[in-house]
Amino acid sequence: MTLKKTILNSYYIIDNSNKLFSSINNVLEDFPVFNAIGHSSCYNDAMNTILKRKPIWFF
Amino acid sequence: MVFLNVDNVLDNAFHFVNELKTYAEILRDFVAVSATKEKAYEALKHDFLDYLTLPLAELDLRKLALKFKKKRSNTLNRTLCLKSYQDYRYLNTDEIVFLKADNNTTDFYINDGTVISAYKTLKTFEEVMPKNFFRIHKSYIVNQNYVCRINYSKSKCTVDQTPHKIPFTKTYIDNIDFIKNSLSDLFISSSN
Repeated sequence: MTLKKTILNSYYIIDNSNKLFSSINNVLEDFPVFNAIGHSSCYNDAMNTILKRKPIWFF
Repeated sequence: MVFLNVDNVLDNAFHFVNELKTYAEILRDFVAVSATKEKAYEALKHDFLDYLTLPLAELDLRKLALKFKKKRSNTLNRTLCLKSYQDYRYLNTDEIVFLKADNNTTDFYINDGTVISAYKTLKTFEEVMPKNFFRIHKSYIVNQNYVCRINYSKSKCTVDQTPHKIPFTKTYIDNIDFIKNSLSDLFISSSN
C-alpha cells in the first residue's frame, strides 16, 4: 500500500484555447496538492467531467 | 476548483455554474477568468472564489492556490481510499465508527458491522483523519459522531452501531474531555 499524505485537489479549466491551461498548469505544478483533470470549451464535456469527479484521500 | 473563462466561451457561463451547483454532490469552487473586469460583480454574486484578469499574473495564481488550500483545510474531503496492490477500497469516513490497531495493521470498524484491514499503522491514519476522529487509546481512534456514552469510572466509551466498548487511557484524557464537551453542547444535559 502506498501513501500520499497530501489531499488531492483537482482543477478543471473551461476555455477555448490551450494557452490558459498551460499558464495555470505551469504555476500550479509547484503545488503538489493540485492535480489538473482536464480542460474543455464544451458545456456538456465540462459538466460531465466535473460531476463525475469526487475528491479522495489516497493512501 | 474550476477555472472558468467567462468571456463567452460557454453560451452562458453563470448558467453553467448554477446547473453544476444543482447536481454536484460536492460543491466546487469557481474562479472567473476574463479579459475585463465587467463580469466581476456577477461572479461575486455567484460566490466565485476569485476573479482573475488576462493576461494571468503568476503571483495572482500563487495567491489563489494558497487561498484555496487554506479554505480546503477547513472542509476536508470525506472519502478515504485504501490501496493494496491492485485493489482500491473506497470508504466514506462518516461510516467509520472506530479504528483499532492490530500490530502493524489497522482495522476499520464500519457502521454496517464490517471490519476492513489496512496495512498501515494507526499513527499513519491519526495524522490524516478528519477532525471528528480522536485518539483515545494507544490502540484506538474513535469517530466522535458515534460516541453515545462515556464512562469515566470504567474508562470506556460506548459507540452506536456496534456492540464494542472502546477503552480510553489517561494519556488521551484531554481528547475524551473534548468529545464530552462537544457532545454536551449538542444535547440537553441531565445529571443526578
